[in-house]
Amino acid sequence: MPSPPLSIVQSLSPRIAVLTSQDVIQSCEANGCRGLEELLRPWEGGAERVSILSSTLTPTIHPTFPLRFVSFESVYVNPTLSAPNPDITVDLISSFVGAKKPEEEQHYPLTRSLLLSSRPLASHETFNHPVGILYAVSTATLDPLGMLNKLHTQSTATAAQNVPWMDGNTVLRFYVVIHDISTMGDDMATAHELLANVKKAYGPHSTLLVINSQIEHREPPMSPDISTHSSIPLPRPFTPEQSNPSALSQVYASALSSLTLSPMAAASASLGETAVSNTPFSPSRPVRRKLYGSKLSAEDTQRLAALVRELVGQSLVPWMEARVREWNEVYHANRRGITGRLFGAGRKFFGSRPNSPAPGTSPTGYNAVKGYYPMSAVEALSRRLADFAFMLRDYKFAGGVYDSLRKDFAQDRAWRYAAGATEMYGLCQLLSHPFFLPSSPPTMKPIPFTNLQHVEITSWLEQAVTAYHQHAPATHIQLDALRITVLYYECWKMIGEWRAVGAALVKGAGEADEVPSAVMIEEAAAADVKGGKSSNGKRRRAFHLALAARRYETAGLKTYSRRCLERASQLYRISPWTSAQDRIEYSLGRQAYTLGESDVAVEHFLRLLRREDTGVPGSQAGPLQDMAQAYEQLAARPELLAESYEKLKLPTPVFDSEKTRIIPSSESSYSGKSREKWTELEGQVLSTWDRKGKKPMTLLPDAKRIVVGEGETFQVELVAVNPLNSPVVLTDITLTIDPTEDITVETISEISLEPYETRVISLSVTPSWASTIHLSNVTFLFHRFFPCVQALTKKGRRLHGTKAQRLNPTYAEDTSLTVNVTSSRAGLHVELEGFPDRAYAGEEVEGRIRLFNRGKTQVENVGMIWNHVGLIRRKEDTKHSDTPFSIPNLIQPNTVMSIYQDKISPGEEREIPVIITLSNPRIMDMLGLITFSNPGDDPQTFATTVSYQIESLPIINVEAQVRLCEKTPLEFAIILETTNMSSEILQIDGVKGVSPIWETNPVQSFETLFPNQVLRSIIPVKKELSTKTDLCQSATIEALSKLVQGQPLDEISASLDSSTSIAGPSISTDDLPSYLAARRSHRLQQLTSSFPTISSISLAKLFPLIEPLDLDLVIKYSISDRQGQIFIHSLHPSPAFSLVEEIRKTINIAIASGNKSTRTMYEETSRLRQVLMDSVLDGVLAKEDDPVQVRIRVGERGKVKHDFKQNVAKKLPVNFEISNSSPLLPVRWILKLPRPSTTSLDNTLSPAQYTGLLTRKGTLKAGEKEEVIADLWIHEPCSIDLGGWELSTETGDVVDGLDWVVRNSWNRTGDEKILHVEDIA
Amino acid sequence: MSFYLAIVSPLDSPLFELSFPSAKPPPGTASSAASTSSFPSWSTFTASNGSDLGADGQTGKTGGNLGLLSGETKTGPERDRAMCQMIAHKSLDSVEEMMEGTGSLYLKNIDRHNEWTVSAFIATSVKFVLLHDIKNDDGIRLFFLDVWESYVKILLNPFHTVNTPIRNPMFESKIRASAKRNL
Repeated sequence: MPSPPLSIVQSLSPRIAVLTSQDVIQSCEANGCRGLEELLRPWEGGAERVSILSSTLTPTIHPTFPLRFVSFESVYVNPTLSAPNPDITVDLISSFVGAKKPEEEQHYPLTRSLLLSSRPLASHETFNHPVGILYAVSTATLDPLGMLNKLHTQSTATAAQNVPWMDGNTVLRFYVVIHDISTMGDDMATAHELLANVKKAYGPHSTLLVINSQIEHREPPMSPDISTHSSIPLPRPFTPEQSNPSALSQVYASALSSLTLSPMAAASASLGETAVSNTPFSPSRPVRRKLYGSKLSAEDTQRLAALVRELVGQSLVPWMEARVREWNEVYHANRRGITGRLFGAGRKFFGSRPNSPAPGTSPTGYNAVKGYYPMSAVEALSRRLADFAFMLRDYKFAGGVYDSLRKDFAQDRAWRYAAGATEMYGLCQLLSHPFFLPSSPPTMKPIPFTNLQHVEITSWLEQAVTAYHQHAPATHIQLDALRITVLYYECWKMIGEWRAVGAALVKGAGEADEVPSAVMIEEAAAADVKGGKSSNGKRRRAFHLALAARRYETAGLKTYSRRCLERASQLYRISPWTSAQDRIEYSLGRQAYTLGESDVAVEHFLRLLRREDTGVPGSQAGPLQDMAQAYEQLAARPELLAESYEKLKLPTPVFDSEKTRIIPSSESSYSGKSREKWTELEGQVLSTWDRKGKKPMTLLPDAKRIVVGEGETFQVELVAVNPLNSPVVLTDITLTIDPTEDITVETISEISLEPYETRVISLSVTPSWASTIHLSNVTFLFHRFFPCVQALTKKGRRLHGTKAQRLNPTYAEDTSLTVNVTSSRAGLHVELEGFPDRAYAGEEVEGRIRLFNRGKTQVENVGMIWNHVGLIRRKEDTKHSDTPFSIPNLIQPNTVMSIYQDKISPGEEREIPVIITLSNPRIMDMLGLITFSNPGDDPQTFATTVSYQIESLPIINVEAQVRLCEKTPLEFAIILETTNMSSEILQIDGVKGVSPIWETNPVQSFETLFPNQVLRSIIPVKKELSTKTDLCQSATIEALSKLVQGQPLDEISASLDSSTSIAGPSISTDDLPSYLAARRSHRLQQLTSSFPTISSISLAKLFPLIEPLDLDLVIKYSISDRQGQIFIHSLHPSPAFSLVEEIRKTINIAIASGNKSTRTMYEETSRLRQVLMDSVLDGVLAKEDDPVQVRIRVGERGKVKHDFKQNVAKKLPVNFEISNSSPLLPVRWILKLPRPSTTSLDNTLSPAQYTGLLTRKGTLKAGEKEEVIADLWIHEPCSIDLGGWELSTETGDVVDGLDWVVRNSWNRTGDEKILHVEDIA
Repeated sequence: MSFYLAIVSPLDSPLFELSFPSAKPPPGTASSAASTSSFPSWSTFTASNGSDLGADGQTGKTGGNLGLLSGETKTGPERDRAMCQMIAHKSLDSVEEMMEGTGSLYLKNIDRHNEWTVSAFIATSVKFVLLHDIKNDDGIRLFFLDVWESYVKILLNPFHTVNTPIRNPMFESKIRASAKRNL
């Protein structure tokens, strides 16, 4: 049955004023009704299938045609009675809505019905003006006709009407004769007679109504449900079979308590007696019984319904149709075509209008002062015409009239009239939708309006609403605007139109903080998500909900407000619009607090305390304080607190669990880069293990495993971050450790954090029992009130073992917060003391190692190992000044040096004097590993670390040069230039040489050097001939040969002599350790750069510490009482010779035979091999220098005097001295003397003219020299160039004493050497 | 005379927010009258009870010592920001509705709430939402183009995804400069 929504039709239905005699009222009161209008109320909608003739004379059958019966007084005499004034309406709405729970979803229906039914009698519309008057007299009246006459006069008298703008006379008059059977008996004769008289007097619009035919007393039925509701009951009249007193009573009860049908009655009933007593005819009456229709029988209900049907069908509708036609003529006469418009304009200027229905007496225009049109004005008439047409559902026609009225009213600046017409025009357009035609099938799916139509309709509504709002303060509620918005909304709902409906509702709600506005906005939120795509509108809905919540809250409906907020927060909570989110949460929290739900409040406030970088600084202080209060309340209710305990968690953790770490008491320098160096030292200790007891797997404490002894205190470092932008105080910070027994944990009473501050907090923990403990939680009071427990869980490293682990991130268990408490752990604390921060290079400084046993057991057998080998050593008590004849010649691995053998009891301390020798100028990071074991049958070894930093400063700069000495080929001189680089006066105490074969004379000098002063000294060096040192280093070469031939490095080890003899007086025993350490470091460095592919450990197995041909110099210096020595390593006085010729031969043979081309799988392997070959065959060992020296001696100082007068020419002997300075190799040589050159460029020099054999040759053994004397022929004084000779030399090996195998050869040409030949004369 | 700009990611989260005053002097009464609709104008921020979100809990003092709970600690800017966020967030619905029906990137005056008008710009995946209280279509269009350019430069960063919040101070200063020029 599609038709306009009942709520619209009912609220805009014709109003019939009921005027009755007192007898009739009494008859009605017998049924619990205050008058005939109430007796008729359930049957107001009783007229069904009403045929209405439209203005185009097409009859249409409409399914319903409700009426509104009201008492005469409420329309004519006291219009305020019919509807409550706006303020009361608003109060009513809020009280009714507030009385319902939000879950009942009654807020909108209640608001709608109260809004629509509270429409007051107004000048700008005629819907509440009476359309008809129903006169009723009872047959019980003594003079019924007289009474009827009196009533008629009362209604037509001018005094009867209270408002000037209402046409109370042009109404349908309908006369009813009431026959009350309960008082008059069932004799109908008098009634019919009276009806005939009435018809005779007042015409055909009269009828007879028989009521109260239930004479026999029935059992009083149950009290009906009289709770107010918003629906419109449409009861069917009872048939006799169905007659049921309680049902009948319920029908009346629900009609009378319906807020839509009888707002005042229902409202007053619920508002209590005060409201009831305001009505003028109630004081005389007893309190209304909660029992209705006790005298009515089933037939009576049918008669009542029939009365309404008759009134509608036979009287009202035809009468209204007639009025429409009649007034239409007038309307058209006034505005037909363009002339009507022109006349309309003329009327404006001349103040009168032709064809006015009531010309002359009364002013017909808009009364701007009082704000209404007189009822004689054509505009007033036209409005009534339009309203009648609207009531008769001729919406197109009504719309046309409203449209023209709208313009006229706007011209007259009658804004309220204009708004009223505008809204009705839009409503007419809306109701013209084919869906509302009664002929449409009920199943029809409404076709939506086009966009344009919809926008137009919406704009009419908006215009009307805007007009209402503009003419009142914004904060004042505009019920008119709300009402019309509700009407539009109802229509839109029917046809399923949701476009922009929410926005229209919000606009209609205006700005007033009242319940109706809030209800409308909440309804807008509901409308937002309807229609369109499902995802659309959610955000708008949330926004509208938030607005509605605020209004509800201001209006005092907290439950509704909270519901809105909660719905809104569902969306906002998942979207990162933090500020909006905070606002909602804050409001929710505050409301929960006021409702006493402090647990919920705390939960909401907690959400506000998350980290948010964009907020206004300090803004989180407020929620924090509020939460403190709420929590205080919560704490007062322990059972609630316990219940909600799980939910209350800080959104952003305060402690950064990733950064939490445990610091064992002493070993603070484990982490970072130096860890590798410790591990290296540890490896060195383990590789040279020489201790009692089992060799442990590791010495250093495991980095991933934290071990502390019983009763030892360790620190837990927590990183606290203030997540808020306001200061926060953390109190009672402590740790929960699993298991909790026997552990003392420090508690920090209070720290305060500035906004976003990060602070490191250290808590000390002392376990007193051996076990494995795990840090599980940190417990603290957040901001002094909120107890928090934060789990300190860390993830271990990411696992990649299985496919499942790779697909789902899986992490190993983290052990960094697990502490192993061992029962008796030996512990040693080591410190270096007494050393200066800086000293000069080579200086020896003395200090102490302090050993302190901080463990529980005794400790013995303390040793140390340092990363700087040999630089730190125990101080010997005795002085040795003797010089050893041999020194160790192996590159020793770094080993543990014993520093203290005896037991150290717990708590005891020992100091061991040590000496540090400083190395080259730089900052020395000395990292030491101190090993120790606990005494007993099963000694275990532990290690602890010590580190020290000392800066080594440059002291002297030494430059050394080797010169050949004249006497023998194996004697040299070393020229030493020593510069004082320091800023102090120092003394050079002596220079000594250390070498297996080179003998030096120690220089004892006591030269004082001032800063930047240079000392030059010459040190003669000669080969010690008696030495038995193997110059060829055959052990090393053999090993290298194996290596080059492809043996793995691990299997090769040269059989090196462990010591080598030293030539001549040399270094003293005291200075030996420093020298050896420096030599070792130099040698390793040298070897590593020469053989980059061989590791340093293997180098030590292949090479001796000192090469036989090396000469090291030790320069001792002293600054006042401080002493030190500087070393110069690896001076080579003699020419080098290749040691690897044998290997080269082997390799060449192998390559030539072609069977040694080993293939490798990887390119890198072959590359490394090539590097090794190159470093061996072409490296330092393969270096070979020309050992031959040539000296030419003739005459004296390059001058020869000759008496040419005596002897014209002379043979002058020139002595070529050829010496072999090689310590090992023999040499063959060929000397070619030049022929005199004929083409000399320089004429000042004469060419040398040799005579005799021009080519000489010979062989020299190592260290030998030979003189060749050539004759130079001179015949005149001149300058002769002795250069130009050519010398070819080759070194070689004598095989089997016969064959000469060439190793290397050189050629040289003599440089220019000038000989002056002078005449004696 | 103030503006609020939000850059909204496809997941509806604000990547960048900025509110700034207008650089230009307020236009004459004529233009302001032209810009405002027939709807009565009141300010969300200035009116005592006009703000739909402000003045929390002035009536809520029933639960005892609620002096601190009355929202006095909420400062003005914070309240404005919440309001702007909500309007911008809500207008995304309108933006999405409009996006379907139009091909242009600049959607002007798509939504309004009280004195705020919302204009939007569809920059590929993200949306720029601008709340403004004066009508300045051309200026806003130019402003949006500037923001777009700056945003594209941000987007060139290979580590930037469309859902990464923008915390680049250069970006902010560029936008402020553009706002000064165009708005």
